[in-house]
Amino acid sequence: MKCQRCKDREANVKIMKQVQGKAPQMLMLCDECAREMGISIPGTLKNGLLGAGLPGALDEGFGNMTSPLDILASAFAAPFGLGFEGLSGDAGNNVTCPTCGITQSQFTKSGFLGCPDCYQVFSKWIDPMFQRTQMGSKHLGRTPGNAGGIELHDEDGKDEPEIRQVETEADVLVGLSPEEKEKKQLIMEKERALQEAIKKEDYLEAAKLRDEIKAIKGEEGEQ
Amino acid sequence: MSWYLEAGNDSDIVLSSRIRLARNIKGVAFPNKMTEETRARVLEQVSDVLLKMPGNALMRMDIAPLPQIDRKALIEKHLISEELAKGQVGQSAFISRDENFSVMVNEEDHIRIQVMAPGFAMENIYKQAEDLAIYLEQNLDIAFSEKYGFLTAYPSNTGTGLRASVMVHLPVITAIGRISALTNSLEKAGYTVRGAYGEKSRPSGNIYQISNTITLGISEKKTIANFARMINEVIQLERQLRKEYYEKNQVRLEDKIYRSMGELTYARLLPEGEAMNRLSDLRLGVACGFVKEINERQLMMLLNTIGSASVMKRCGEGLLPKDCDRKRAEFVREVLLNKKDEKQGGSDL
Repeated sequence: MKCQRCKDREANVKIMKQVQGKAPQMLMLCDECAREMGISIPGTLKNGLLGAGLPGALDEGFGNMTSPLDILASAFAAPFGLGFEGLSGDAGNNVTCPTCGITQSQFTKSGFLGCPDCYQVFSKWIDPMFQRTQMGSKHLGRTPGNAGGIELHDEDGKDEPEIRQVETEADVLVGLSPEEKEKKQLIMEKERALQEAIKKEDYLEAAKLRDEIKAIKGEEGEQ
Repeated sequence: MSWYLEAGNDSDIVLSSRIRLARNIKGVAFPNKMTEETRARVLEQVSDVLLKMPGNALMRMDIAPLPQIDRKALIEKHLISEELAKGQVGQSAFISRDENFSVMVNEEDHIRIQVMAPGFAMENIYKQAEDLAIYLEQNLDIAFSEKYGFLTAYPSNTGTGLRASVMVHLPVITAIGRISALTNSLEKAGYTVRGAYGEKSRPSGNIYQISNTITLGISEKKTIANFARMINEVIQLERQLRKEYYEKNQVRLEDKIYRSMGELTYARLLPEGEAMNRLSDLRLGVACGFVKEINERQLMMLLNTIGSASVMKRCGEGLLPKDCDRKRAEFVREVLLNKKDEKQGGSDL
């Protein structure tokens, strides 16, 4: 079967989309088009960095880089069949950035934006492009002036455990009055018990605890 | 001492590591839409902040007054890009003494921070680049959006603005004809493989530049961790293939490499491309353990100093290509026959 996007090369990537209550949608693509649409299905790398049948083929390593579900979602979210050049397809709608004067067709042609404000002005075209070429269109990195949480570690090359923002009890209790502190501690205690109950699948106990927590918090809210 | 004269981790495969961070100033058009006046103003603004940095070790180098040969030599050392070498109004580089650190102003973006190190050293150099970025972010109004992150002239850099790259020597993956398969696999995973001098350059001497392409929807930490993990796989792969290849083709490989050594030691004319390929063979011989006459450090120094511009800069401009090949051959011969101190090559910025 031919690829449904370029209608030229042989299709070898099959993408299924199933929405409840609707007929499943199927899409057949060639490797190249799949790549251009930002689809990198980890399974295709199972044969290793150099393809199948070679010594040194690597089995793991890429699988956890991007969730295949995210990629598929973005593939379907993207306007179908549009590459970067396809952005100009929106005829008669030549938006201009008021700050730098760059037009949408200029941007589409060169790929360059004219100024930081262009991102707002052209977001309608930029977002779908990011959905295809990046891991979505939401920044997850640093904010200006703040460190990015990378710490240097030993030379043994072991991965550091993921750093999560964890509220320690001490942090939470700083600056509270004695009554507030007591209440907060009580809530935390009950929350711990709730997690325990859920773990043990004791849902009756869990429901009871959840109501108790709600009651204490509600009381807090009324103050 | 120049950074590339130091020994690095995994230097049998990884020649050097590089981090680049792109930043722009809020409310100012990107360089492709800037007037000369704004370019000059941005340069002075950035220059002011950079040169006032506590413990600053960067020297300002305006490109416009530089002779072409000096610009080319800076490109060969990866300190500036072709784009900056145009030397338009307001284009400058700030370069550290040991040449591991450079900041390009008014390149594709207003500010491009770049840190390099020998061998494989991602986190370390990322940290250095980040420290400088933080300083600039605290002292300049940087273009940033909650949604898109750090805004850049070319949208594919926006987000973290972070490009991590390594220069890797992959003679065996190339020899067995699998470099395009590797390139495809890496592209699927969000990486790109190019020649040593970036975008349009062709690979020479089996040296490739691998870098990340994803900058949005991923944190810096994760970018670096994923990149390091992936490069490690490439390293393991090339190493294993080298071992198998050497075991199976010992005499043939040794013959080829010793011939290259003979050529480098005795040739009187060495064109650049040929020199790169023969040096690539020697590197493989050193890594396989049978070439003892030269070490990785000397090879790294040679790779960084035998480019045409570097040779001309040492021996005088106006050198004819033939004379350039002769001088290159002389220089390589001297290093190989141990007549030249390996530290001489790098002090000619």
